[in-house]
Amino acid sequence: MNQTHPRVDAYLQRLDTLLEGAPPATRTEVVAGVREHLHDSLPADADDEQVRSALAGLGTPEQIADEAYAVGPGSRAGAATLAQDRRWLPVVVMVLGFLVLLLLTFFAVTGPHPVELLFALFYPPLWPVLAVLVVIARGWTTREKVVLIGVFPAACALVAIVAAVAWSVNEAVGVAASVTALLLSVVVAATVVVVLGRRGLRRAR
Amino acid sequence: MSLPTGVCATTLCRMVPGDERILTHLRRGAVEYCVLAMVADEPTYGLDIARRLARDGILMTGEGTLYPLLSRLRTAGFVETRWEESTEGPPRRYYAITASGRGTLDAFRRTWAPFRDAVDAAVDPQTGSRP
Repeated sequence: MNQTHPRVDAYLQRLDTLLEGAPPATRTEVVAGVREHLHDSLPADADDEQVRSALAGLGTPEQIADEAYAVGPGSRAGAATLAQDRRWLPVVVMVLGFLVLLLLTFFAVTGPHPVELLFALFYPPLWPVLAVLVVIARGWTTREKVVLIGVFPAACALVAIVAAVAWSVNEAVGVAASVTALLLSVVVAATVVVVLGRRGLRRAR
Repeated sequence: MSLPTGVCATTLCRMVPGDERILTHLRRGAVEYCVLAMVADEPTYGLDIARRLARDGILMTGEGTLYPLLSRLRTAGFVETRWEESTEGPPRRYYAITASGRGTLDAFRRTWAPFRDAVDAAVDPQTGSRP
């Protein structure tokens, strides 16, 4: 199901309200789990009857909330959340990503040689730290992790290659092409950071 | 509340009112281990686990009650989650058993058979037999 349905929205809202007294992580996780369940079980063009049936299969929001407040064998009140699941992790990754892009812009403007753009990745070593955090995080799929880590060296490489080629023609072409490549790289990379960062934040518990 | 498709005709409609109350108590001690067993061989996503658990209406009636249970198992460190690409839409959250969860499941399996036999022997001495 790609679009929301009023009944689904009302159901999830009711469930979220009933879970106000639960630990925040549980509340977020349960609502997200039920939302994904409905997404997986309903076709993209689900009609009202299909939505009713799917919601009936889930049980009432009250039943789900009762289960959330129950104490079972798996309960361990106050258990520490793994670092890989922390909500701050996507935020730190986004901040590091923007800093890398700022450094890329700085080195692109001031660096005497395109190869020095690599400094944006390693000096200071923000990109390796970002890569480690992305690898250990659980909020992204493997493909998303590859994109999130790879977008920075790709941006540096694009700017460096365009600058090297364009400057060999003449200065005017060199400046115009370098600025265009830099703007394009930074905008694309920043978009990737924002989109995947928000996705990771949404999935973090 | 209407029942999940296919459930009424099979199991729940044959129950007397007290049956559901008894099942609720019994589920409390066993369903979480059933979930651990379902993710023990390979990572599985929520809808798949829910459909298998709610199939006959015995282990679970409302599929939604799976998610608080999965949250408890994850908080306890018995399962972990990861996101994987899906060919049918957006990425899915998959649940996989941890070493701690596997140890807990093994302990439950060792305990369950003698417990079940003891209950059989106690509630129906004619057919039940103690090991």
